[in-house]
Amino acid sequence: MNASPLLQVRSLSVGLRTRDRGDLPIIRKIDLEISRGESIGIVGESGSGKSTLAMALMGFLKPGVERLEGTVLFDRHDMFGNDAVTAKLRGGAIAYVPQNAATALTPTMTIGNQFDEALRLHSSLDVSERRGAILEMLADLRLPDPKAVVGRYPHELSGGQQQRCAIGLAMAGQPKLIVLDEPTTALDTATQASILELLAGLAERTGTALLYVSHNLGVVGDNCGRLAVMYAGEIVEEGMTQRLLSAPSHPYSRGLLGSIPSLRDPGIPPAMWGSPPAISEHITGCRFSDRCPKRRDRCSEHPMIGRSPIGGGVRCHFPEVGPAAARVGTERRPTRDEPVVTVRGLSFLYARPGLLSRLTGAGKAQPAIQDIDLELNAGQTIGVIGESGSGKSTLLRVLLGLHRPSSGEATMLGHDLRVPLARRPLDLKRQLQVVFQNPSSSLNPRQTILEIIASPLRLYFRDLDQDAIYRRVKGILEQVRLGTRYLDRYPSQLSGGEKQRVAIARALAAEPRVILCDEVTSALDVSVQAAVLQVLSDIQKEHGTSYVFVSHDLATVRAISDHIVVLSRGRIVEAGPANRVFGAPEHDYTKMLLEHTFDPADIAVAA
Amino acid sequence: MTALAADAPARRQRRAAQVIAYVLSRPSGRVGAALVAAHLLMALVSPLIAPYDVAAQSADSLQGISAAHWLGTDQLGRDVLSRTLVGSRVTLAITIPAAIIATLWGGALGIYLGLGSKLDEIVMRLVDAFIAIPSLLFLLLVVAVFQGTTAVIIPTFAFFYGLLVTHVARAGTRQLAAQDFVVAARLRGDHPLRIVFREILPNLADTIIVDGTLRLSWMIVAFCSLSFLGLGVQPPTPEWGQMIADARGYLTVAPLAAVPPCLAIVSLIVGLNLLSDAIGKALGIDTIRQRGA
Repeated sequence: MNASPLLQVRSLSVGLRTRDRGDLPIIRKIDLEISRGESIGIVGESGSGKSTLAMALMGFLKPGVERLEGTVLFDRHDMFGNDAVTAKLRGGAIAYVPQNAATALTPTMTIGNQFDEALRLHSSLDVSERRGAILEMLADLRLPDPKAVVGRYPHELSGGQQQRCAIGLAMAGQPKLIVLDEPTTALDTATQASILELLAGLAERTGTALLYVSHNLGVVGDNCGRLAVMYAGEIVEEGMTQRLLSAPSHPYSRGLLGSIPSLRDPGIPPAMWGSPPAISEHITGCRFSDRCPKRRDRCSEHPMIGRSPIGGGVRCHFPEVGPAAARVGTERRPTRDEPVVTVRGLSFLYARPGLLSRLTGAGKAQPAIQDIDLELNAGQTIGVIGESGSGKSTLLRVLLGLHRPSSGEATMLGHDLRVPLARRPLDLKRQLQVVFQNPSSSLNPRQTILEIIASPLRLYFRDLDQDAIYRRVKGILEQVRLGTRYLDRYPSQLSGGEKQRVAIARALAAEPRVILCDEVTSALDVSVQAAVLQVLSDIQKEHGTSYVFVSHDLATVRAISDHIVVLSRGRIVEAGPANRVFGAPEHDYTKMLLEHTFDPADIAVAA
Repeated sequence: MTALAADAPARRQRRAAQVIAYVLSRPSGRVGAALVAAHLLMALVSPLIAPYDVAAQSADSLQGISAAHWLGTDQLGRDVLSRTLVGSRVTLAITIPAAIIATLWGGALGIYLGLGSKLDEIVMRLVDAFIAIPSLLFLLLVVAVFQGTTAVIIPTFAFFYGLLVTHVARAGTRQLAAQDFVVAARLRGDHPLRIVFREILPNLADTIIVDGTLRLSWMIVAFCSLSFLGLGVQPPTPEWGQMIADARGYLTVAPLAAVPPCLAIVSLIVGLNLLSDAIGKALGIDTIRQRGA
């Protein structure tokens, strides 16, 4: 084995060169080494620069982005030196697996032909040898019936199978390093786990180094020996995974880890308020300091990376020692037995679309739901869990009157919920509000926050004058912990978590009895998820609002729910109090879901 | 205390100022804006500054460039410079109103259909059927049958180009209607008109304006073509297409007579296209910033 590291990054800064504002680095003075056969994870939230770094390691920069300083040496080749050499390395010695495998596969070529092409370019096998090699590789990828897969086109495979093929293609060049950008984010929990396991196995056998880039601590925590945490373009901490996760030294790592909800430890994790600085912001001191709970005078001085108490590196003047503080789980109040929504035997079956919509392809299949029973009490949260396609969203859409149920009953406060939206009385619409998954699409980009939150007030409370509306909007913004300074801003000026809190504020303005939450935290970074949960929980305490909280993220559901409903293929497979369902799951499907959920508590125990 | 709605006009103004500043900040935008502005200005003031009466004939027909007639004279001895300067007035007087009417009705129908109407399929197939007809042929037919008066040409243009606006507006509306903020407004119980004016239009206006500018340039070309074929404007009113047609007969004797109206058409069309492109980019910058932030 060669003693020199496989990849050596020295003081690498990459960013925008602007005429009027000077250099705006996206990543700043990154130092990183990857040894042969090692697996390393880079964790960071959106905007931390992790993807830019991953690309730069391969000598690749997005248009408009430039290397400002530093070097990347791969096997002693300068990745920014000779373009021809770099191009040859890419796809060969360094392979890349993107987040969305569908984009890595050529849609018009069969899987077999794509593998054949890769082998032709990167090996000296002849036609018949290649055919054998391809079948072997497909079998290694644990694809069912490799002989059949050879002749299939990418769209004929499931998302998980596509990702397996993308990994296989990356391995075809016998790479020394594979860069994986959010390799499993688009996949279901169970598929995620099996793919990561497959990767680890293949890499170990071939001695390939793996670099995972992810926002998901679960993915990197389980699969990487070493971890680097990025924040605002810098590596703020790095070290051995187990040690780093059990006793992080940087306040950001501690906050990030602490804000992950745990299945063992119910209650809402402490939130990290605020948001990372924009790349255009000039900060002379520590880049985390304005969010840091332990900020001191010296933090206005930019810290260099130093030795951390657990033997890694940390960029903090005052690194912390020992395990992260135990979370202060917010105890859930017992709920009153006062049903607000009652659902009995509710079904929505897939309706055969009419001729016209079939001709135009407009009729899109909604997963069906069957025999759903629910009873939502005042001030209660029902968590609905299940994988994609299990009918979670369909259930919400039926309750909202967007789909007409085929059978069953649903009532809310004396109103019949089978009535379609157009015929629902305004009061029912007011009482039943919804918050959507994607905060960017749920706010009109052309309206200020003030206008957005004022809309329901104007509609439902007609006797309010301008001043009263203004005062109320201010009050509501405070409840979701956004200050008055947000009133005149546009959604584009807010971070994802802030936008989601505005969407909650808009729902809250209607003074509803029930808010349906459709994956409200799924599009958000971990550190701000907790803030959103905290806000929802505060509102519930104050107003006795009930929630139906739909999510595929079990730990998040656990954090906020009293009662759990597990959906699989449109049917309830298990239901009961949160403690019972998570503590002693009865159905195999629930057990399977629980098994594949990352829990920071597990790492801490293991370490 | 700020009144909620009172800031809206001020904000729109700020935004308009940003867009204009962006358009003028790049060479293609500057050229486009300058060409369009020069043409509009000329259309307004040309009757005052044209050196000759556009209808005045003289014995000096088909003259080349001279001190008296800077761009020469045509076959009836009329001053080409004067006629070129004044020549856009009829065209613009017809195409600008037609473009506005087309945008209004096409936009309204497109938004209505885009919000999910039962009529959507039927109406859109009809629209497609009309679009499939070569519009210039159809225009020729209409004009030949009903005479080329303003009262006929404006509605015909507005109808044909409105069909294209319908497509653009419908597609944009469908995209917006699937966005959660529109769904939220529906679930909340907002009146459909309120949804159109508060949620849809502010997000669609950009697209329609850019599209409208392009439609205008198409209409100008179409109108000049009609006149070229002798169906648009009746003499002695000067019009570029007609001037080119006239000059065509004498190309061997006075080859320069066709050049000024041709250049005029080209510069106006190029100007409009550059301008609409720059406005589109300016508004695009806006959306990129929204996504990136």
